[in-house]
Amino acid sequence: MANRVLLGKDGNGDYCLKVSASGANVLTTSNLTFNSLITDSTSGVTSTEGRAFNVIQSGVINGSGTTAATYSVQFPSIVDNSGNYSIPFVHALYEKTVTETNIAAGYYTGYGYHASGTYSWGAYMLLESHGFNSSGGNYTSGTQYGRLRFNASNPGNMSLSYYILAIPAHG
Amino acid sequence: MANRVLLGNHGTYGYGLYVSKSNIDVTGANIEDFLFASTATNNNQLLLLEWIPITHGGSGTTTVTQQYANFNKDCEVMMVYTSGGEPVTAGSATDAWSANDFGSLFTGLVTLTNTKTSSSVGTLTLTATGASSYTLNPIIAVFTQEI
Repeated sequence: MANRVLLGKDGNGDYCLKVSASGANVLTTSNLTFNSLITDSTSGVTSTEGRAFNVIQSGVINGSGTTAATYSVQFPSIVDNSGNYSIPFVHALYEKTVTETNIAAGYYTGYGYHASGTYSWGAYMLLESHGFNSSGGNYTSGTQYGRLRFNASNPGNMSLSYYILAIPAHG
Repeated sequence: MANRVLLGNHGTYGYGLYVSKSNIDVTGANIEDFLFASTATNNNQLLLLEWIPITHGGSGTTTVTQQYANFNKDCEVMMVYTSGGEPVTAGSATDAWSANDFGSLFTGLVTLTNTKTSSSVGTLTLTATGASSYTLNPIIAVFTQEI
């Protein structure tokens, strides 16, 4: 069996956590499935340092009825040490519940909406970084929340599976 | 408090590094309960997440390229079309969101390709065409996940 997990000093003398692919020796291979030493100094790139896709919140929003409606969920705002709020990166999957064969996947981020079309089945998504309480009302005190809203023109046919990632949209 | 980190031999999944969700004992955890498992095919990491604007003047083809460190991966890419910071359209192909070659999007005017240029460099190429002037400001993300 190959050595697949290295927690310590690698051959370059760097302390790290590395995990190699099945069958590959973590001590010698570049075929890694996790590498804590990822960094990028390429011009035009702000290094992400190999952030993992940690999910801070996930769920499903199910629409109902035939009248256009807006649904929302709140998530704890992402704020840095300087007090700046960031819109999280969100992966959302729209699903038309009438038939399971019609599933549209999309990655969405930013403050704005996703225009209607064949992907979203007449729905759009709006992300707001902060300014709300846990119930979606205006923020007054305590933990501040952002809001993910989902609007559907025919909500009974709609559901939205979402994953809010601990990654600011700007990286 | 539950045992949440295991570096060693898991009773079901063998030797590895495992981290379980809050309040779940890692030694008895199932695969859906792991935050991290070294036995996974890939523990998807982000290599690039950038706004890469492109402004087309209404004639010819406009090309924008961006290189990145690929760590010897033929990486998966996803993008979100935006304009002025807001997503406006998903494009027109069902694979528009996650693929290495996005083909024609934005009513056929914009393409995005991702190339493994070398064992250390990947190259994103964004092109825009059409008879009208426009600016797009897409977010482009690159994962360690390989196609």
